[in-house]
Amino acid sequence: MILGIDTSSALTSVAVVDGDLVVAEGGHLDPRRHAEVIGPLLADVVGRIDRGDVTSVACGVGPGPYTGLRVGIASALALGAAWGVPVLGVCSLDAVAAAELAEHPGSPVTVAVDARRSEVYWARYDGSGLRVEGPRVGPADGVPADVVGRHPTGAWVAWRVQALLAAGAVPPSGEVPLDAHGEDSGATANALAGATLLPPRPLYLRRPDAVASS
Amino acid sequence: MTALTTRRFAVPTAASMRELGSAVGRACSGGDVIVLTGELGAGKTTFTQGVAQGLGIDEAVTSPTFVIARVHRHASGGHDLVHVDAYRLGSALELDDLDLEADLDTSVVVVEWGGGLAEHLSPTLLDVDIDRSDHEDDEERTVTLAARGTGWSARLGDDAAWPT
Amino acid sequence: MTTDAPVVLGIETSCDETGIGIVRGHELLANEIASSVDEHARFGGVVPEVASRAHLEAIEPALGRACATAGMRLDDVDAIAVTAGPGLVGALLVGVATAKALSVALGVPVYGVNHLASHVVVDELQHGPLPDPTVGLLVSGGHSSLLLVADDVSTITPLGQTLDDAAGEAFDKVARLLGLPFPGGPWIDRIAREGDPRAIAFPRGLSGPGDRDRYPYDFSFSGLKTAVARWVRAKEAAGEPVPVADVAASVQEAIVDVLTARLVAACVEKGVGTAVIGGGVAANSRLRTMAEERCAAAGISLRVPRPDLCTDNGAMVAALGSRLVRDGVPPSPLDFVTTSNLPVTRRSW
Repeated sequence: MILGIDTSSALTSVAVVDGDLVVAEGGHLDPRRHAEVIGPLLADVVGRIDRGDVTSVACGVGPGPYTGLRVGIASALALGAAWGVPVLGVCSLDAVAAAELAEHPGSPVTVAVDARRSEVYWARYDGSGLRVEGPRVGPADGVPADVVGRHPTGAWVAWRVQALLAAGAVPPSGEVPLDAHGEDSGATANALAGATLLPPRPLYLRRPDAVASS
Repeated sequence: MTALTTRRFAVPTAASMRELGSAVGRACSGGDVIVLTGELGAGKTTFTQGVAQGLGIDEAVTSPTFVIARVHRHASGGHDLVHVDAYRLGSALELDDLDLEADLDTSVVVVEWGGGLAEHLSPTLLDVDIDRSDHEDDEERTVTLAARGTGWSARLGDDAAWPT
Repeated sequence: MTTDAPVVLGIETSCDETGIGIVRGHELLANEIASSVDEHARFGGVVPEVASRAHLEAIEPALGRACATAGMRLDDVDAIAVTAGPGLVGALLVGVATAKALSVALGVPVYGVNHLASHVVVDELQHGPLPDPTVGLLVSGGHSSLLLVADDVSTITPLGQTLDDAAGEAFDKVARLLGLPFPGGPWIDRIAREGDPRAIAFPRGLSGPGDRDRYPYDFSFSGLKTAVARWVRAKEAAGEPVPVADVAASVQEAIVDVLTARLVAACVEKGVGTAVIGGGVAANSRLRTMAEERCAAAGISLRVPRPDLCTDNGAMVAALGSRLVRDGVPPSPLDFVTTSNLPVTRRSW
């Protein structure tokens, strides 16, 4: 069984999956209350399983609004540390694409989520669900997105991890180039393309807003 | 009533700075953004304390520097005050990114060090420039209020609203 | 759980230090700190987003180090305590999310605690139980507060606070005026040793007629900053060199004079025999010296925790959590909120 968490959108979502089954699931839609609701959601979901059955914790690593995103990743890291199980990340947009593909098999899709400042985070997938471009951040009007604003869920994040592990993907060593985590979106976005497990670190795609003083 | 785009004041003391801020606070409406310019120690916090007073906010307005932005709630339904220190923000200020616990449409936002960063935030913007370059030896400041957009221009033109 | 000596893990992420502490009762077992201050130095101050990112990078390794230092596993922890405010909201959330998930995963209670109260209670780890009552002076980059801690540390009454800039912020901003690096406090402390504290009579905030009655225990450092700016500019305008050491010493003297005078006045007027100083500015050497002299003269016993317990750390959070467990205070609900303006009167959520 895999416990999945995603907080990269307004939805705080926690689920436990086992094969095709969703064993337990909970969610709360509110863009500003991830850190409040994550506690009761986790308590409810964990209360409905035998925690000894959880073999790994999956978390969506964005991209998405940073404050909420960090809540899910911090929670996943804590669960992994407490239970002694690996914490595996996947691009949250991959979870959206996988959900879309399940409804429309074989269709290529471009997924976008709001990144504020009139920009979106987006990624493009082929008909097999493989990410062929992105994740990137850019002006909303420049992205021909098919899917806008669908929330990644803990269940889909867990299923992505389950599928990748089944396909022989190895947990990342943590040596993903730092660029991917906030220094530059262009240079590394494509390096992350494809079916990969990621370390449990946010895909920020933007630098912090601050200037070095002279 | 003549529409003015600027109004200039000689402000001799901290108390009169607070009084001028208070007049601005009384003239404010929801969604207003005030951009404060002036060197360290010019009196930006004092001015903002006056704005809070004018809005009818009781709680103490302390420096937002440490937390970047602080929300001061109006106790009885008036406009909240959002007090921002943009000194360490590098690019155009996006209030959304500050994750403020406030409704910005009904709040008044005061941004210190906001020149060049905050102008896009509101169509009714008031620039407040606090200058003490002519007053090395005393507390006197020259404060210039400059309206951007018609909203503040009309309010600046109302002579009765301003200290003489 | 052993309620007389519970093992409590404390998490602190309210500003730029990621702190994990473990205590048993009021015995300190581990106090791991990862600081992002070097990353902030180039920005001239703490940048919230930079701090939040650093917390998330640092927190899990710090958890591991703290357990190793304490020689225990997370399973051995009886309760989790975490700073719920006041502080930078985005930074606080990293610690709060970690704490809530640990609480669920381990099946132990979680306490969302008050940062300011932690700064006072931490002294129990070094000097034993606090006498009742105690006056606490908290001085840091974000806070300047005088607190009356009474009823066996269960009632915290704010006596006063800064009306504008915090003391640490005053140090930082004066350092900026003098062209010194961030954080300014340690630089001013160091350079002041070469200067004359009586060289320039900078103003003491709220010492005017009537201020003592209206603001008996409050602080104001904004006027000091203005006075320093004016003094430095006048020197420069006259083409004279700015005696940086004398300015630093005189500014430090003005800040420390006000802080210690208010602290002693609060103790004397409230009939309190013990004072505790906490927060990063407690590391200032002149503050320690003057507070010792003035407290001794007034017959007040002064307690200042060692520097690593004064600055933000996880042990102080664990210390307060341990106190709450031993006092039988109910844990916080799992949906407790995080806030930048947590009122100091509440120890926990």
